[in-house]
Amino acid sequence: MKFTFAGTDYEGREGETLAAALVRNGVLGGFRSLYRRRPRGVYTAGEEEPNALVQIGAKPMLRATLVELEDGLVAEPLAGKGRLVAAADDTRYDTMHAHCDVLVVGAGRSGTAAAEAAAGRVLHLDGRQGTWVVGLYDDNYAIAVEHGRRLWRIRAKRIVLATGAIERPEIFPDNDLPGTMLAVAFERY
Amino acid sequence: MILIPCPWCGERDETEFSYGGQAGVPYPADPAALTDEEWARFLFFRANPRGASHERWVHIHGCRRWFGLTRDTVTHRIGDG
Repeated sequence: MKFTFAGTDYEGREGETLAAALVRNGVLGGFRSLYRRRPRGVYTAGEEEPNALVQIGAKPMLRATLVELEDGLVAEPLAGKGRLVAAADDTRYDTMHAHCDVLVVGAGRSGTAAAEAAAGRVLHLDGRQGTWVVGLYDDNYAIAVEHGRRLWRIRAKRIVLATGAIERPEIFPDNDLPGTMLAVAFERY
Repeated sequence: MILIPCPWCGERDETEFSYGGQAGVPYPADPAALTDEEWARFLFFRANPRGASHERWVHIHGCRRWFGLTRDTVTHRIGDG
């Protein structure tokens, strides 16, 4: 499987993310900071990625850690700012409403156990499966985004948050240099 | 977005309702006898509590029924008005 990053061709593997493929190909840098253009590299292995932002076709500001590799993928690194493409967007966007007894957010071990144990109408969402729950409001009202195209407005009787945790970075001099990454990301890659 | 209990329809989203202002503001018995200041106070001056607020609401996008409720302005908890 071939992909192109910043004009260079690389070999990728089925099922890995763009960030994983870059790291495996020895590309630890390749990105720039927004204002001072300092070198940056893949820092995480998940949705918390601050550096590895790419533009793929008309889609700006995608996290390389969340982009699944496809054959012939062409990604351009972004320095904290995307590019609008003038061509008309023919994607259809819409909104759905859902009501449920239990909304479980996160499909890790706890979330899966909670969803199995829950009674009634259960809605089980996880961003890694395409639907990110992005907001919680009064009276168990939640907003979720499905594949960036469909907004879900959800009213639940109960909500279980099983979102896991994001590693807090160690603070030390030059911890922003390419090649430095979270321990979790190092382990993953 | 909070849930508001309509006495006819049950709990519905806040966006289905319109706010009707503070409850229990009586129309003056003899409006002509009021001074300008008293009339202005009747028209424009309302309580602005931190805590329990007695309010009128109307289920404008539903059954159109008017009703009263008590809403806590800090916690959004709703009781009977």
